[in-house]
Amino acid sequence: MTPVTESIKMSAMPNSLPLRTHEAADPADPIRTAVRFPLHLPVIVRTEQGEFDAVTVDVSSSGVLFSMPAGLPVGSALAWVMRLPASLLGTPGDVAVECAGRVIWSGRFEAGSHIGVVIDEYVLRDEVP
Amino acid sequence: MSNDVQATTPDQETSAIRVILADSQAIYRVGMRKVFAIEDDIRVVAQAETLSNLYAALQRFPADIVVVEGQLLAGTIGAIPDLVRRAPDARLIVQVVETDEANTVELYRRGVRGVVSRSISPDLLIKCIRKIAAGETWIDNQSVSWVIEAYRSQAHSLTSPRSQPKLSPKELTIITCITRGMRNKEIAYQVGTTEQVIKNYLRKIYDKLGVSDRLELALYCMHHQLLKQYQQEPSTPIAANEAAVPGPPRLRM
Repeated sequence: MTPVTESIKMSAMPNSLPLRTHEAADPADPIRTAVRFPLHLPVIVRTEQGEFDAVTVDVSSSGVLFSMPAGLPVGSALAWVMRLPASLLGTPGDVAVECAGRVIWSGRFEAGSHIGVVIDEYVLRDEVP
Repeated sequence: MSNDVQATTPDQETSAIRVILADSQAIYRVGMRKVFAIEDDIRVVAQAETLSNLYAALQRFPADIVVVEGQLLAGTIGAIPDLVRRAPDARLIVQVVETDEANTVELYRRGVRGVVSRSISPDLLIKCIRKIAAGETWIDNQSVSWVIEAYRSQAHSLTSPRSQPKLSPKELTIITCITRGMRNKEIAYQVGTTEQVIKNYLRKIYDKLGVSDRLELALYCMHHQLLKQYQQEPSTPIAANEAAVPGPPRLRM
């Protein structure tokens, strides 16, 4: 067995983010290993501060990385609906994924902001016309 | 008190790290006890010689750490999830004779907090126990590489268009229903079977595709256009099962 140097503190890494930790991550959360799918879906994010347009950068079953014009405070509760198109999904109608979650990371870039969100609840809903 | 599960010291101090030792070889148990005996923050609360003895010990003696011999778990696939379920607050350290990638990755995946060699030095074992009791994971450099590589491979296999397992018509029907938001009971009614059968299919589908829940399944289907691909084949059963059924309740925001 290779020598052990030091144990590594495996604090939670929000899975919706690029591979970096952030101080706002909750160390009590277990390590998330959900796979991130690179999906760009336009959504309207509803928060206590109002509604904002956003686009998903990547989506996993436990979190989403959004790109939006302005950031949101870490800890903000938000809700959004992602529409998975029938043309790609192969279902009779679009499927709406209604989500509720919290902001766990927010970063500012030249083109706007990225926010990392954990999905606390979701419901899949068929939108057969 | 049964001879199979040995309680070693009375429960006096609540601040010490409570350890259960599970090892088929008495000499290892005795050795580890001696090592921990001189540490004032580690207390061995029970010992067990077999897996069933360990279950009994966990029931009787609250523990912070369980040091278990890897051989005790060999051949019992559900042993670790079982242990985690029986003692959700206890953290597992597995001692192995030699490490291999598949075994190590699987141990960490199932919830083990540390994988150490049977020949670990006493000082390092004590350090390991203290770190894990403090909430950390004990993992050596080689194992970190293995775990990260396993994570990358899983991500790649889920997002790669090349590697897609074969799905039966029934499985495709069920996947279609799931991605449309139907509940297990609704699917069972639609398909003409029982809820338990649907759950069994779901487990199999999740394992085949490497997904962990309904949303991940839907995302996988969209990313790979899975259902579309199969629909291009003639007379697929999916088309025959697209009867309108009530959707799931709306999520209250």
